[in-house]
Amino acid sequence: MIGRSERVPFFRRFLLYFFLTLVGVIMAYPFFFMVTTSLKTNQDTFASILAPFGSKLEWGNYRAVLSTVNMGRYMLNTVFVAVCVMAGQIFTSMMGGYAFARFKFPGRDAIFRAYLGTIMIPFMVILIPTYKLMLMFNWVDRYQSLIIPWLFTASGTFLFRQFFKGIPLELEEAAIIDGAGRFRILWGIFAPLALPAVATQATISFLYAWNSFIWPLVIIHNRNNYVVTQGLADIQGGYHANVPYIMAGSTLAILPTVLAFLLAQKYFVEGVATTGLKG
Amino acid sequence: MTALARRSTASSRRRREALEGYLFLLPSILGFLIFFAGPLLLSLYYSLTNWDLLTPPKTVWLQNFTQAVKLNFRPDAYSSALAEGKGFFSAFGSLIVPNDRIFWIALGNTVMYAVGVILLAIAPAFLLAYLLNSKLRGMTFFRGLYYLPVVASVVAVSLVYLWVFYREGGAVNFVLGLFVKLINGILGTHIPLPVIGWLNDPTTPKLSLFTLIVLTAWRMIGYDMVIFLAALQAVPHSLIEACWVDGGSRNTILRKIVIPLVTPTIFYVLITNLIDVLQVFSEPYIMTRGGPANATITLVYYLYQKGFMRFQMGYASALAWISFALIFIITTVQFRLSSRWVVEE
Repeated sequence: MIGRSERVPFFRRFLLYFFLTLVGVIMAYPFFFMVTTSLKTNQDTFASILAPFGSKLEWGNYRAVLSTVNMGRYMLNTVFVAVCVMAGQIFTSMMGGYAFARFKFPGRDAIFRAYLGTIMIPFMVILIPTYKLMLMFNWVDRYQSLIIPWLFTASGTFLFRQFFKGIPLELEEAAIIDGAGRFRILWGIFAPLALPAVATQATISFLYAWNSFIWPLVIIHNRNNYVVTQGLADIQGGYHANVPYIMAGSTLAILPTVLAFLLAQKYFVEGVATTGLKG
Repeated sequence: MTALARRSTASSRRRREALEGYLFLLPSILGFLIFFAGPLLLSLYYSLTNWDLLTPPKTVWLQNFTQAVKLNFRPDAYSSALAEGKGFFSAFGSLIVPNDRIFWIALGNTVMYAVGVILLAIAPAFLLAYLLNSKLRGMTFFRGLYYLPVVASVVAVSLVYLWVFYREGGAVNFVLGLFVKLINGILGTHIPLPVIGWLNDPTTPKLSLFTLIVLTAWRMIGYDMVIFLAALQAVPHSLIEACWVDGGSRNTILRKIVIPLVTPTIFYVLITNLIDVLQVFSEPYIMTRGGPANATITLVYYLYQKGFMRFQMGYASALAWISFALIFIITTVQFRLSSRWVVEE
């Protein structure tokens, strides 16, 4: 299909759009099912499983999920955790990326290789010792456990290193001659230039923190501190027979990331695409 | 300034730079040491111990590993199975008895899971990327649409799937039922309406695994597609134009230019998908709880059960390292094989 649009004949184009739409339906149907069912009554759900609407729009499902199931609280908890992880990861990886890109120090390349090596190692290998650490720090059931262990990110450091390497050296030298310290250079000159990379890393961090499940499941037991994914598992356990509740909960869990994606699609896609190309 | 003094200012400047470098690296290296390197070493230690989290770990060396991997040979059971009239081959089940049966089931499931997802995700993702890589209208829209499953919470999506694939009256069975009704109506046949237990039917355990694989592939396709799309867009246009001018068909361009140039990307996608899928946890946890009869238990799910439900932390750590070894071996083999088909620049 590489070529110019005017070369694609009508029939071919029709087939292409037909196929892409078909795939689109498969990709989108679960979301469609989720949103429509979240607005039905429980009786309507199985009476007309395919119908987009039940006998009425049941907004009460959302009210119930937000208050009775306490999903509102879980969402706030997750927003707090996700924003902290996001800010923290951007801070550490920006500093680290700058160090790798612009400083010479003994062991730099070895440390960098060690960082990259971590990408290969599955999380489950460090799951149990990290749990033990949380016990030692007395962080079990606290938000710290959801934030601080995740502030180091190898891929984020890599992302910023690559970005900073692309900034011309002259820019920095001029600032040094003017007497600016390195810290001021990073936050005054490099950071504003790196906004696209910041946005990319922000999307990655936010998605990661918002959607994480096994770690909160292990470390958070107090219901008040639950995150969204735990809340969902909870609805599934407690309201097993009430499908609209489960769908309303799922919609609430998916909405923020989908909205963020729609607003900043470029950065979501860029993060994946650039790491893929350089990987 | 003497040469000596100049050298000393140069070296002090270098020392200063190194010091500043470490300072900038400090926040991330602290995280790396405390929350990655440290736990990694600890995990290796724990895997050599018996540990219930409450009493201090007891070193048992490789016992956890051997317990997990060990296969017991039972020639006597084999001969008695033969005597009972079982076939030469079908009696093998009683000759080799795994010490930890569930470990081997989880291992097999995980490998099948990985192979299944890779087969179902990579080729369709490439096809979609290829189709979307045109200047026609609406391609960004479709790209965004296909990417939605990637950003959506796996737990939420799993809950949705649970009801889409529900046995009694779920959407998939309902649609299949409509087709059957249509066929019955046209042909006058009496095919019964399908009531398929996609996820939890004990009589069809393999189907449950397959359904989970489909869901995981569904959410992986968009991710792979975006990477392929970036690679396809990086293919130099001049090459394609040149081939076009020389009278090359769409097919030759694809086979001779496009695919060889994106092989490194295909390789990258293969590896990342593999690492991702070998760690699958949320899907079986939410949809099947590893069932029916351990048909969908994965290595990570088994690790979670052992560690956080039965508090066999040492054993669970050993399982983690076995999984890591599996990822490591497969990746290394892939790297070796890659020289045969990945085109270096």
